[in-house]
Parts: sequence; structure tokens; C-alpha cells
Amino acid sequence: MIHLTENTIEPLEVLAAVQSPLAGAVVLFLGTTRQFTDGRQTVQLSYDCYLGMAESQLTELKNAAMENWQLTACCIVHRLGDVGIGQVSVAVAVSSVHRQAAFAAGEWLMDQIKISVPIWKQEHWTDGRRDWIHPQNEPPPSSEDRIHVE
Amino acid sequence: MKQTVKMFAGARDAVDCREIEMSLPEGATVGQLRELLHLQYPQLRQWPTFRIAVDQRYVADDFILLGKEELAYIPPVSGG
Repeated sequence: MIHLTENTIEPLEVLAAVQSPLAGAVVLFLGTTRQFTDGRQTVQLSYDCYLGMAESQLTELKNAAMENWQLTACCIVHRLGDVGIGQVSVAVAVSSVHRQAAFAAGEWLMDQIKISVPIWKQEHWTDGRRDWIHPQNEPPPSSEDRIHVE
Repeated sequence: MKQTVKMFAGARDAVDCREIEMSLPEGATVGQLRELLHLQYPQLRQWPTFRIAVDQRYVADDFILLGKEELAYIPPVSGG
């Protein structure tokens, strides 16, 4: 399941989406809104999104992970709009027959989300300033190999 | 040919618009569009690693535009 939502992410619902009698392992990752970044204090985050493309990119990532690690199930939920401190901004849950595949797939999915899915966060700082976050320390993946499973 | 380019996040703020209209020569490539964007909107040069999405997919610079595609300027992403 792929879901982009302005509502609170319920971790138990994300877990339930991937639990299966066929699975021997379930891994759930939650990304949460951090209060301090390099000593600066955040009030909240806002997320912007290119909706249709973000959904299709997430679906492609999910399908690639399902195939590469032979997952039993995979669920990715990402928040949009305003997200308060400590709240869940992204949830990735995967299930598989054995734990190695679930750990590896979950980590790979989060890495890819941060590289290729058109979602952006804006920091709202305590001094009233707002900054869109556009990380530039990594070169973009070459045009058509955005899904490269190692 | 004229084509609109959707803008997001910091890039939207930089041009103060959700969409910008670009005039492109017939048969222009995505690479030409990239160059023209930075010529006409120097404030976008702060994201040298931006990508262009055509019909909601990343494409190579040699992709030839026909004039009917949905185009988007994708500054470096920061989901998660």
C-alpha cells in the first residue's frame, strides 16, 4: 500500500497492512519530526509534494523492493502538510520470510525515498524563519536508473 | 512552442509562481529547457542538481519535447 496523507500516521495500521501468516519477519521504520537540527530549534515541518509523481515513484520503489527481496508485503505512508515535533512524517513497513530481507529492503526504501521521490520538507524555526530543505551534497542519479537495486 | 513548467518548494518561492511559461524552439530537448530555465531565472542556479520530470517521470537530457507534455522542475528532494 502507498499512501500520502495530511492525517496522523497510525503505526499500528501500517504494521497491520504488512502482517501475514506467510511472513517470519516484520520491520517498521518511522521517521519522526526532530526538534533540533545543528543546534537550531524547529517548531514544525511542512511538506510539499508533486502528488501524482510522488505516488508513482513510491509505487515503483515498492514494486522493485518486493521483487528484489521477495517481500511478503510492503507499505509506505508519507505525511503532507504540517507535521508537529515528534510526530511521524514517514512510515515504511515490510514483511518477509526471513529478517535479513526485511531489514535490507526497509533501509533501501528509505534511502531511495530521500533521493528520488518528489516530496520536500520546510523547516519552521523558532525565530519565525522558514527554510525549504534541498540537500545538494549528493549528485542526482543519472536520468533513468533511479531504481538501482544492489 | 510554449510549455508550462510546474514549480515546487524552494523553487516555487524563488520564482514566486506555481507554474512558469517557457518558449522553446520546436523539437527542443530537456537539456535545452534546463539551460533556458537557468538563463531566464538565474535565481534557480542555486540548485545545479535539479531534475526535469516529463509526464511525471525523470528523463535524460536528450529527451525531445513535443509540446504537450506535463513538465515539472524538481529541485533536490527532502522527503522522509
